[in-house]
Amino acid sequence: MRIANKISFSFLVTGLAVASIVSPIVYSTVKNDLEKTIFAHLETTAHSRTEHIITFLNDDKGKVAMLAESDSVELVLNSYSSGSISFSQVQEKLKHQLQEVLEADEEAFEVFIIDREGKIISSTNDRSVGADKSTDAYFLQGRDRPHIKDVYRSQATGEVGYAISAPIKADQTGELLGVAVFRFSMEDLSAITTDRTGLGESGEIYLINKYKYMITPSRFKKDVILKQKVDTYYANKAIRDFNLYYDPELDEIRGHEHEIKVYPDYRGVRVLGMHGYIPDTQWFLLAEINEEEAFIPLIKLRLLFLMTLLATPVISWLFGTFFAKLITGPITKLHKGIEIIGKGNLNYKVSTDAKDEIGQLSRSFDKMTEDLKTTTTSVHRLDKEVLERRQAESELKVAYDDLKKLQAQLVQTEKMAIIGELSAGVAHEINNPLAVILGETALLLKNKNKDKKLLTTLKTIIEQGERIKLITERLLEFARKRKIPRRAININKALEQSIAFLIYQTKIKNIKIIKEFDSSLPKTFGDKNQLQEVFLNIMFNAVQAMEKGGQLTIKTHITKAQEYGEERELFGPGKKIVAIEFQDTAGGMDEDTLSKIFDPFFSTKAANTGLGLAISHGIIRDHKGLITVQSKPTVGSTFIVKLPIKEGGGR
Amino acid sequence: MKRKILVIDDEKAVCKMLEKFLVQQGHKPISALSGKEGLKKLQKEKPHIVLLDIRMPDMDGVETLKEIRKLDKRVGIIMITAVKKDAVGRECLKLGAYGYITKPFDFDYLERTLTIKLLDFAGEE
Repeated sequence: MRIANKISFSFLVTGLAVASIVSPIVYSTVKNDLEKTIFAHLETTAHSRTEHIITFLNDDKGKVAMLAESDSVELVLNSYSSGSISFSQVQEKLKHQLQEVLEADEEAFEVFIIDREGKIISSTNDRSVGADKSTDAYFLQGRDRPHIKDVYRSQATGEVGYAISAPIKADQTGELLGVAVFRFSMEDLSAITTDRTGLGESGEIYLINKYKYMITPSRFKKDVILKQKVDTYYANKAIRDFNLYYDPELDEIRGHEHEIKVYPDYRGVRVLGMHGYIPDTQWFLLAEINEEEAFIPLIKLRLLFLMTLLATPVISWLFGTFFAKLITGPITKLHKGIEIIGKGNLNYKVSTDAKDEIGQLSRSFDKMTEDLKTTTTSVHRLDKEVLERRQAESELKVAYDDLKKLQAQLVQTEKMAIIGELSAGVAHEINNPLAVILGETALLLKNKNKDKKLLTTLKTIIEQGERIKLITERLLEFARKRKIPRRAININKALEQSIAFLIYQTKIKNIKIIKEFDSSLPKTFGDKNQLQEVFLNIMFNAVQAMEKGGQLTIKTHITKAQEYGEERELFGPGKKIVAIEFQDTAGGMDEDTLSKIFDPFFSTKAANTGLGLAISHGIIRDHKGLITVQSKPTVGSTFIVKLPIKEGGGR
Repeated sequence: MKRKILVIDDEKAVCKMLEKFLVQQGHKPISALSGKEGLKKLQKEKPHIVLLDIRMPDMDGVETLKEIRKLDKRVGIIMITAVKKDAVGRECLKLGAYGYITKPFDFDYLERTLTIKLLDFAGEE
């Protein structure tokens, strides 16, 4: 590893280590604090609003008590109960006062007074007068002490509100004279809960009654009052805690801690919640904020830490790279200088101004180069000479090799020509006596001789004669000069047809045939049947040689004639030609076999006449082509047939 | 009616053997051991068919064929060659030979060829 990388890498590792140790600690600390803050905020809000409502209700109670205890009311009721004034007079006498009280209170929408029997005797609303309220809670409860009637929907007006009642008693006797009742709308109470300052986008405060119905508006739903049941975890807990722990004497919840919880609210949205109690009415205040929003700061925090964690290695790496450059810059410069000089440019100077160790090293180096320059010049000249000689030598070797190859080719051609002539001569010479032997014997056979022994002998002569005939035929076939028609041949197609002959044999011997044909192969010309005979000869030999299975690859492609030797003679140097390769996996041949492979009567198989490849050689020669063989001992052999392209014939 | 068949082959044994075969077939064979002798016998004997070996010293079969055609337009000439699918054999067909047979002989084939060619002379003396 390069020094620069090492430095950068160590910075990176240190940065990563510090970030990965410090980040989680700081994160968890900050997270705890933040959570506490969020909880405390919600708790304070819930608490203060609860107090606000309790005070508010107490105020209302006070107003009712004030009316109940007022002397003028007592006076009128006293007169009424003693019978000195009539029912209709009561309304007249009190209506004005009630009206004044109502006007002073923005929130109350009806103020009325019930007599001992439960009948409304005076009201700010004329139509209420005379109504029987003897079974109503505010009458029954309000006879003993001030009472707040829970939120209800008025059957007469449909309005929602709550009522507060208080007993009107005779000052001296304490005798019950009637009950004063205020009916309040929900407006002001709702105003307290719908003030959502400090609750963010999703926070809300609402009241529920002891039956878990909402009695103040929801932030998210319309028309919920006395209709929306809040059967959430925290509503239930608040009611249970209240029933278990509320001490009416002290008016407080004891032995129980408030705690923040996360739970799904009446909409099913997960919220962070806190509750408060209004014991008087058994109302419960719920302050809730969406978990998502409550924890936004936490998510932001998490993101920040993640980014820090990601940025740390990058920044450390950058720092590391910067420092590394500071250190390795001069070293690199020196190294570059050494390389340039190493390549032979002795005029190069590193020339560093630095006063440090590297600077010293550079200057020493420059001096050394100067010294080296003087000694190298002579060596250089010598080297050049050696190089030139080597080049000449290798060129000579190439030329020699080419010549050797050419010679070998010439020998082969010459040999084949001589063998051809010889074969033809021999075949002809044999043919005449053979024709006589076979002919005479055949004539003898036709004479219908009865001697069985003689017949058998004659037949044997003919049989053996036929064998000689076969050999001379093949020899002449090999040697004969063929007239090749200039007929266009699609080599790929011709190969396909030849391969079809082999399918049975290759299956039996478990030989895989692989075809790699160049589909753009141009046409060649000649005698298709003869060329197919060549292909079949080569492939049959390969198949026979692969007794234990193997692979026969047949390739066709376009190539260029060599610049020397027989190919140059046949095709012209560099001319485009067609090559057909047959590659087997039969284990290859030795040098001796290779040099004789095309000779007539040369066969490694006892059953062969040994003329197949000789004839193939003759056919390809007459096609103005070339057939050669290469072999890798222990691997396999490749027969290569090269043929000229049919000119002007296209594809 | 016996037909005259002239055999021209430089190999005496071949001539003799063919003579035997032709006699057996009911023809009248005449032999010549060279092209020149063959031409002489052709003029003298006026054969119906000539069996002519291509490969001969001095005057070979092709030359002899040309000469025969100069002298006699009608005589049937069957060339004898050693090589199957022989280019020279085919060349001879162009020069006026009726067919060619290969050496060693397939007598059945020779017999068929002779019979068919001799149909040309059916009804003649």
